[in-house]
Amino acid sequence: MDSSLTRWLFTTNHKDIGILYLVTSLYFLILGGALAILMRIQLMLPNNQFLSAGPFNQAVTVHGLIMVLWFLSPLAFAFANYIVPLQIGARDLAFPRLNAMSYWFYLFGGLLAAVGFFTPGGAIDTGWTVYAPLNTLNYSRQLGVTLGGAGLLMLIASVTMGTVNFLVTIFRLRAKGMSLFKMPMYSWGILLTVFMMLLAFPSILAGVIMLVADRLLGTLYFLSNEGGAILWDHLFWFFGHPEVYILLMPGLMAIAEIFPVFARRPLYGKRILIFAAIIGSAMSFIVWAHHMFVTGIDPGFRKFMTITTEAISIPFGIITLCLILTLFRASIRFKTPMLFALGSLALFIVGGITGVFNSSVALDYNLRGTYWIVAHFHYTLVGGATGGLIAALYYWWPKMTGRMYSERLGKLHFTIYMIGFNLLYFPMHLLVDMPRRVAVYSEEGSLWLNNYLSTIGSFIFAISWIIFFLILLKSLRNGKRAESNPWGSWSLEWMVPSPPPYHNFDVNPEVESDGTIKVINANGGSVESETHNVHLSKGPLMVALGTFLALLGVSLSIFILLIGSIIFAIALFGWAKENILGRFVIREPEVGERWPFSSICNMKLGVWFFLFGEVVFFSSILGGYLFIRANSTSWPILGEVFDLKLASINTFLLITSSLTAMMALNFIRKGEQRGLKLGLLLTFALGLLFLINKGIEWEELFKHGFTPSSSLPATIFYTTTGIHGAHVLAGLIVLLYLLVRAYKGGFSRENYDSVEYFDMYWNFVDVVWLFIFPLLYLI
Amino acid sequence: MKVRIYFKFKGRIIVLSPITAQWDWLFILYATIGSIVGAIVIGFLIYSSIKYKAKGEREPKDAPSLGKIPAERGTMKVAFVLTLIVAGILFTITLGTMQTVDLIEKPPKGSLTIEVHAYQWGWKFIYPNGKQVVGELRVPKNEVITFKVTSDDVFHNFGLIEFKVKGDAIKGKINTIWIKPSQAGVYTIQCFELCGIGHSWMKGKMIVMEPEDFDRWYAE
Amino acid sequence: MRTLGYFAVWIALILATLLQLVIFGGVKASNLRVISIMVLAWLQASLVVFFYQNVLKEPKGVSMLYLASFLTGSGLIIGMILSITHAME
Ligand code: HEM
Ligand SMILES: [Cu+2]
Ligand SMILES: [Cu+2]
Repeated sequence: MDSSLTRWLFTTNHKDIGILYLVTSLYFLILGGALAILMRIQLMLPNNQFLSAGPFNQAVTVHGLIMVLWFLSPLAFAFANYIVPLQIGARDLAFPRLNAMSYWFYLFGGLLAAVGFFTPGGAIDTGWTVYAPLNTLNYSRQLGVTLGGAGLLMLIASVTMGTVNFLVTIFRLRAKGMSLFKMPMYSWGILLTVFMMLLAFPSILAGVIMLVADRLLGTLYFLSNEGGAILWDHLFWFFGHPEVYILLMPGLMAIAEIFPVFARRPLYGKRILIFAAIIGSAMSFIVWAHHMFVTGIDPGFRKFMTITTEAISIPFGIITLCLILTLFRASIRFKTPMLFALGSLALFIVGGITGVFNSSVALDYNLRGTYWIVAHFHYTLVGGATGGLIAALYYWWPKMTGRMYSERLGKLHFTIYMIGFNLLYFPMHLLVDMPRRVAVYSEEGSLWLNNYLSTIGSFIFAISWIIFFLILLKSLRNGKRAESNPWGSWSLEWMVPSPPPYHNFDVNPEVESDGTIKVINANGGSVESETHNVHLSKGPLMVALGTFLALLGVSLSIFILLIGSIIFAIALFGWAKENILGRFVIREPEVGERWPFSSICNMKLGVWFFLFGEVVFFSSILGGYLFIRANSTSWPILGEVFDLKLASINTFLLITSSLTAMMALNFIRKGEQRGLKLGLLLTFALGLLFLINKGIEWEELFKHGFTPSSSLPATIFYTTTGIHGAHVLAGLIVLLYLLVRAYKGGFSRENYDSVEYFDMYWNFVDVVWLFIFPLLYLI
Repeated sequence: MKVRIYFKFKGRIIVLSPITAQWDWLFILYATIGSIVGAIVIGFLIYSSIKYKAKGEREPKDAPSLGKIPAERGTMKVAFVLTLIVAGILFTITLGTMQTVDLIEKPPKGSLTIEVHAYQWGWKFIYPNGKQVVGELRVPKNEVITFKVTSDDVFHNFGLIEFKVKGDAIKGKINTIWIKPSQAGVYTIQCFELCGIGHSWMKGKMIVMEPEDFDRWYAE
Repeated sequence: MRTLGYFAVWIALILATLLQLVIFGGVKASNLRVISIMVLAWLQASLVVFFYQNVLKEPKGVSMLYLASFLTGSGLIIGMILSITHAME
């Protein structure tokens, strides 16, 4: 494979994309780190004037967003992309083009948020939590906040695609005999991570959509007292708490992967550990209100969340103890990956213990919003999660690059890293009297000493990262060639050369019942060379670029929006063409381990997972509505105020379109082409009528002064029905593609899958309406 | 229980307000248990690292080998014991928390109630008799003072640093905190939630006065 | 056979909506009205999920996860409401 520009721009290979993720996330690390150093310089001395409050707030915010969403998670996904398919014995992810698109959305999302720095008023400056109502137009007029929201939207899209892709891959592409429990720990970590992502990100998506609607259309979600701060808190932290485990899990499981290899003993209690990790991940969804302890929420509800929060320490305590017990009676080799794994576990323990402090409502009354919190989350996120991934990077570096790094320099890096880290963050524990996110503190009190120490620590810490980058560059230039298994590991990725061949395995790997993994090339020939050239696709990059420009245009100018939309449309068209011409068929291996999803195919499972995310998304949107309504003293019943006719007609239209969609499917199952076309056409017509009717209804209401910014009921009415309408529109676009295919004779008795997937989606959109209709109009 | 803690610390640290004593007690409880647990766990981590450092090239019997799923190690019994230990520790400290929360959240009766309005960027205080002050709050010593905290614009947080309590200031919501200052003097009020450009300077003063002085000032 | 089933479901869905409208027009605003309308909505949703989306014919994992995502969403809504209604004290 060549190393030309086209390869990197249009690649869909999981290892290439893994490298892209790695490089990009490290780039964002440098960016976020530079901002952090600027902040630390400002805070070095009391009343310092290095950065004024405006730039400081931008630095805090962008640092937080970048480190959490554009550095840490993507670094984990660099290894997820590169290593997980190898570990489970797959040749690529289930949907390679989707994977590439996920990467480009991630990159362009970051750029979109960063464009803010070059607009008047600067980048987003609300803190990475983007609290309401500071995030509304009333209090933050600058474009930077809107652009930040748009960047987040692209990132969430990227995450959604990645999530579906990894879930299907891990469930459906495992080698024969590779049961879930036999999977290596890092793959387990990613499996749990994407599960949490699937169910957590929809709520922030809902929040950001409401925010962008507030800022662009003048809706009132976060400006009103009925929604406002608490509504955002819920939507943000319902995502935010699982998010911290999303950040942590890959690093923690990387440690679990590395410990046994260098301790030369099996992981202690692998099953127990996995079980605890599952429980912990599930519980992460019922603790979110610990971020709202002093907002004045219901005490009983808060007590519940206190107990769950304290209880969630149990599984994580067990994981930690299992990891440590692994070292018992072992024979430990202190290579750099092991040093980082050990070090980050120790730092994670410190962060975990201070976390228990925060879970106490009583202590939180004073600790809230102080540097104690900053110390806590840096110990867990930098010490634990980042450290674990750095260990992973050293561990898999030889596999990914084919080169060894200098062990001596690696140890130097580790030493300086640990010194710098602790000097940087430990003093912050003692700054309980200092609010976080302040640009300036005064001379009074004893704040300066710990701030001074912390800043000195940050310089040392920065030096350790410079050493890190030098180690990597040096290794690339003249590192020793790596063998296929330099550490004495056991799993599949070490059974292929370093770096692995383009298609990973020449034959399908197998795990035998006694636990022996086999990758034996039976006939010696290389397999499937004909698939080599289908691995490039322009679609992913172009779709992402189009979206980027369109979103930029929405914030800046119609002209850019237009260009973006055109690129987007052309790219989608090209994508559909690739499909119709059958250029991108990925053959699923006939045998494999697929429990519990053995009887359905990849694409269908992917659509299901996507719909599960949608369930949480619409719950969040409707939850926002019910929350605001419960908070309001009076609420008009729209069906009594307005004419119900149009809405009722729409309900009948949509119900009927579900029937026609099912009929289309039924016909093609029997091979009847005419029936299929008729069914699809009718569905299309009914969907279109639904939208037209909706348009008429909206226009009618507008005439009566019922505009999005006129009242809370109007805000909710337009946003909710608008989002649903967008789903109908998306369905119609897919239908158009299906119609073209149907008229070209692209479906048959054996091949009608796309119609089935469409029906699943369409029925879901129908179900959503069946709730929206009564909730919005009738009660 | 409350009283005992109160006396226990009286000799050693100044008890500014009942909550500070209780808070300190709880923090010390957490810090003690946390340090012990941390020391044991990290100690064990370091100890095993040193003790079980590889000597030579000899490999343990069940060492990972390429192309072989590692054997199972560890038992359910161990997991059970671990769970019990972790849960026991958490249970102890949770009890402490529950007790402290009760104290923080149930203001005693007969108090002076002051409305606190946070705004970008400052503090306004409204007394029961309608008296309004900005930035500088005056309260009497040895009396229970209840703050009804709210915001006129964005999310702020009313923090009384020395008194170890904070209340979120949210528009349309009223959150209650209370203190009973035992020492006259000047204390710091500061905002603890990012609220825009002026956040760093969103400070105020709370002056605790002798009751007579306060009454005179209040009547003015 | 299948076709007949689809039509039956369709008729049930239409009837349920009609019933909702009748209740809405005929009963004065009350808890009873809200509950009966919402019960009908749930009924409709289940019909679509079970007979159009055919979840029960899918692998067990699919219906379990459908349920899980549904519980997650409901958990969020319930939490949001509980946090302000002071119902748990
Ligand atoms: C490597 C991973 C890191 C992660 C995941 C991370 C994460 C975060 C997050 C989430 C925030 C909160 C931002 C906000 O309040 O809106 C934050 C704040 C901050 N971080 Fe980091 N950070 C990392 C590295 C660093 C480094 C290396 C430094 C110092 C050189 C640093 C210094 C700071 C400072 C000074 C703040 C501001 C705290 C405040 O005022 O609230 N961080 N970080
Ligand atoms: Cu949390
Ligand atoms: Cu503030």
